[in-house]
Amino acid sequence: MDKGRNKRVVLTAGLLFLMLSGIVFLCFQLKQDIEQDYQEKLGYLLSLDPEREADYISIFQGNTTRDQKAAREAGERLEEKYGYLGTHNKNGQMVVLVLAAIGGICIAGALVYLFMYWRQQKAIQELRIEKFMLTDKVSELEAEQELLKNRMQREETETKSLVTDISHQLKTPLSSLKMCYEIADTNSFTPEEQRSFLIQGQHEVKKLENLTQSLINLSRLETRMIQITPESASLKKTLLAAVNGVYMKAFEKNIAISVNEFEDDNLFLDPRWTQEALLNVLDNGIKYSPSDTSIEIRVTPMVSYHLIEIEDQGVGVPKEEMNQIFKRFYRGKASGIQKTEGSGVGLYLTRRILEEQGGSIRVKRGRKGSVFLIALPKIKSNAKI
Amino acid sequence: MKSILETRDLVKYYGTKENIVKAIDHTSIQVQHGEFVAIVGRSGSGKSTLLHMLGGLDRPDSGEVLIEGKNIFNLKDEELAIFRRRKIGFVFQNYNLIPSLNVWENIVLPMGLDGKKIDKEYIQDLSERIGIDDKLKSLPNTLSGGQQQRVAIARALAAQPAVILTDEPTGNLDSKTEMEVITLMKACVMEYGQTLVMITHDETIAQMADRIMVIEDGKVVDQ
Repeated sequence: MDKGRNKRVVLTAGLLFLMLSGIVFLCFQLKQDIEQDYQEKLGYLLSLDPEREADYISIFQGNTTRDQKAAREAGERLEEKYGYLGTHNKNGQMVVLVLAAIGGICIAGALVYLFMYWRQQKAIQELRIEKFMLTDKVSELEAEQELLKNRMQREETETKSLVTDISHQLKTPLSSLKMCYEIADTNSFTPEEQRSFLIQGQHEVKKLENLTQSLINLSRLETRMIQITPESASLKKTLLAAVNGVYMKAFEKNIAISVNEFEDDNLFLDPRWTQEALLNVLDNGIKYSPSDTSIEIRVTPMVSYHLIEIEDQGVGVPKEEMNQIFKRFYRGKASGIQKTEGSGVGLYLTRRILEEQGGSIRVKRGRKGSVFLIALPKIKSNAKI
Repeated sequence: MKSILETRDLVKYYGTKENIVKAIDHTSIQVQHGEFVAIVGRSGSGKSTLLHMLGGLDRPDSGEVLIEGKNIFNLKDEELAIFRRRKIGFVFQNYNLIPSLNVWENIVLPMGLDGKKIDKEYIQDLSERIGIDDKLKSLPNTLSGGQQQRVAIARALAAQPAVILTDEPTGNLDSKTEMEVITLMKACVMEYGQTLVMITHDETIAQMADRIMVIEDGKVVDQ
């Protein structure tokens, strides 16, 4: 940068010096030419008319006593008569040349200066934008740093609260289990009573078992421990496995499940988790539908996705709850839903599984119940996710 | 926590006195990095005005819009233009493609304006991902609505902006294509760690977002 600038300064100075010396040279030349010309002309006149030497010399020296105006008029008359022209005059030509040279040099100098000024302005502009982009990049990096910090903090608090929740959840059944054993161990009760406490204890153990199972699922979800390992899997088989998983429940309520004809496709997804996701939706449909209804599954291939529609004839989802049902622990407000057993984890899990694989789910009002729309990406098995 | 997109006491009124329309009425919202936010409102609720100001397309009467903590209306016009092209991708209802340019040219146009080097490989990947890789030489008017919107999405994502702003992106599409287009946007945004703000009047689309805000008479309420 600095080197280039020095070069430019030297170049400009050199050019200026050259121009100036050119002008000086031309002026000097002009002065000499004029002097020579005058000498020659004076010499001619004197050789023609040597007697009037003093007059000629005084005229050439400029201190003439004659009327200047009359002299100029006489000169003009002569010019008209003989076509005497200033352009024939060597001195006149020389003056024009010098003026043109000076003018040309000035214009060239101005142009060079303007060009350099323009280049400089452009460079300044570019530098300003570059600086702006750099500061922007810096703030971007800072934001990224901030984000990481925040995420770590959030994860820490989440882990803490999860640990607290789990300990609280375990505390109650554990203490009642402990009580059962203590009572069974004392001699102040009849053998029948002791037996009933043991049975009660067994119930508590069962409860604990269920609880730990749901806690494991929960913690897997919360700590992103769900491992989705995509592989090439048949859409038809995955869907069929999900339907088979709820088949008995549907049979008990006499709910018919139908699937349209569709061409099978190999998708790149985790068949086990995807099956779980589909199963949750079907399970919900059966759970919240009255007996003797039906569930219709429609599969439509689209450009980038396979669209799976699951339509039931159940209670439906009220419009204001549509964006809530996929939230963790959310359960419908209607009394029929509140009475049915459920944890509010199923659809949350479904959405997480689908989105993790680049798919999606949403619900809308169906003809009778609701329709769940699921999009599964058609990714070729050689593409990476 | 620092938000990627934030408005502070934003105000925009149209008209005067008895004809005054409060398009945006003292609105303060925050969008976090990586979020998918839907802003739901009826037509005339001021949602498009809000989106235009979030994207620096329109100036508010008062208040601030901050992107990555930077007040965008403090920037000089040319800086704002660069900032917008680098940080924000737009997807509109009517696609806004240039009819005389083919699909590839439409996608790379904003980067050309920025004098940015075009990452051909990335755009090739992106167009495969979005399903338009066999349409790159076609002119927009030979494509269906869904395909045109895919091109618009590719254009918005091409410069890898931090924020994607979209205004009724599926307003002209049937419900199945709509599902596909939004899933596509959501998946891309998740994959590249971007933030998506979608304006819509349709609550059933909004449920695909992580968070929903409702705008009514220029005021925004978190749901």
